[in-house]
Amino acid sequence: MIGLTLLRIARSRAARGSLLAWTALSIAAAVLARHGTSSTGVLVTSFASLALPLATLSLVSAATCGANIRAAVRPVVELGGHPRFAALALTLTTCAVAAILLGALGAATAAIGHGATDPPPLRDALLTFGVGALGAIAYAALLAASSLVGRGALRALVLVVDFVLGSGSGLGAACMPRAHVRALLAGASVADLSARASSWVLVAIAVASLAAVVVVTRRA
Amino acid sequence: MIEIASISAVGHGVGGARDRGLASRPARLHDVRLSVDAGSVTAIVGTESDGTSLLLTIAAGRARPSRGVVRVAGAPPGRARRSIAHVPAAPSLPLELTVARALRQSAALRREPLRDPIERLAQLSIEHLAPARIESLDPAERRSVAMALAVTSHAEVLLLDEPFQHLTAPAAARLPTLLRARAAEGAAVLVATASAAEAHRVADRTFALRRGALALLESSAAAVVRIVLRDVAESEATASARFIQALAAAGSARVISSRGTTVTVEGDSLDALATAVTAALDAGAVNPHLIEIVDSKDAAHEALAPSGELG
Repeated sequence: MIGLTLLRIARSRAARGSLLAWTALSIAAAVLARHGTSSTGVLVTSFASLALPLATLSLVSAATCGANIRAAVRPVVELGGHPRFAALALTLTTCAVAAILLGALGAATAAIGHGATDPPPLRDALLTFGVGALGAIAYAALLAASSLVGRGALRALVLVVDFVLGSGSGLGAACMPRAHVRALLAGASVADLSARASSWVLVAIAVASLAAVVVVTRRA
Repeated sequence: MIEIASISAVGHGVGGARDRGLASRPARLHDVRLSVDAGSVTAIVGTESDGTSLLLTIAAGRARPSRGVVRVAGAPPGRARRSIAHVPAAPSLPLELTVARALRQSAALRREPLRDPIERLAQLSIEHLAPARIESLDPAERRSVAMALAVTSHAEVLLLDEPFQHLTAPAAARLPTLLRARAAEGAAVLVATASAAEAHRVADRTFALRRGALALLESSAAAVVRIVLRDVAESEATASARFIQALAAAGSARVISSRGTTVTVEGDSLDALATAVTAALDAGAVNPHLIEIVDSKDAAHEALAPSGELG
């Protein structure tokens, strides 16, 4: 399932196009913000708010062929694979691809838009890589779990809810990856949680989503 | 090998009409009991709405009955997945892979020794498809590949939904022999088909599944079967003559009429007739386009016939 998922992502024109478009947007915004005092604004608005969730959505859609995750693993099940392991492999592979690509995009955005008040460039890029990768893993796992319902349309709905609730700073926002990624990049807090706690919430979202995928795909 | 003990269920079979985007009502199974031994081919005659696809899906561990128990090789089917090869009516294949890679991947997932994919595909005369990407194949080729993946695997249990539908002509001609060979090696083969003629062509035992209820299909009564031979390069007369000659050698079937590629034969029992026709098709090296039961006094077959689903 790992090789098949990588093939699906690599061969998806929609995923390639989406990644290119969001990369271009983030880099362009970083270039424009180059002479400012900080890259935080660019990272929060263009990278965390748009590029990260929407590029991850396109990766998950490519990995699941735009369908329900059970339908996406069915070819491997019919070759003799176990649906639970196939779904877990699909989700983990997508998480890994999203983490590498979007972590790298975050790091590039931070490096290009680096401002005078930001931490040293290398440290800033590494920190942004970490936050981008963690955010991408949480989003990819959450969107994979959303693919358990219906034909996959719930993925977009989850992103809308994430956009609406995650833009705040209250308890509703504390359940959404968007708020925590923004908090980690901007140094603000969600529901008075520390940066470390925000990181753990992102990990918890990913683990809970993976558990849902594993439990629900016992049969396919 | 497969023990189905009093199962009842409501739902859709994997790869059925709903998965093909068609509107369909869920099928129902009522207190179905069935035992399929190792080394045997069992056929269930019925349609998807009668519950055939749902029954195979449950036997494969891909759906759960609301009541009753299914055991495959002594374990719940979910724990015997590597031993089970299930080909639904509309199989899902990894479209991104080549046929050869899908065969290798399947062998790895089933923990079988790696064999030459071309040799495996040659058993259904589709070895030329090995380097092709599955997404580039036409529906008949894809289904033949799905059948090759299952039938040439080392799986101890084969669950095949409409195995003769939409196959390439050579694959359809070779499949009955291959299924019997797999049974002879010790596999338990369960076939679901809407065609009683196809069922009798391959199966040791045939059951009828009608609106979720299962009954043994006795086939000891006299029957008349019409065979339409597939167009061949040689003249129609030569192909028909060779088939009739082979049929005469088989002994238990009498030719009533022969016109062009259509040959109508009668026999003392549907079982004997199916055996004779299958042997004659193999011996005469001719492919059937259609085999239909024109007349049978078989009580179970007549119970099925009014639905218009059988010949």
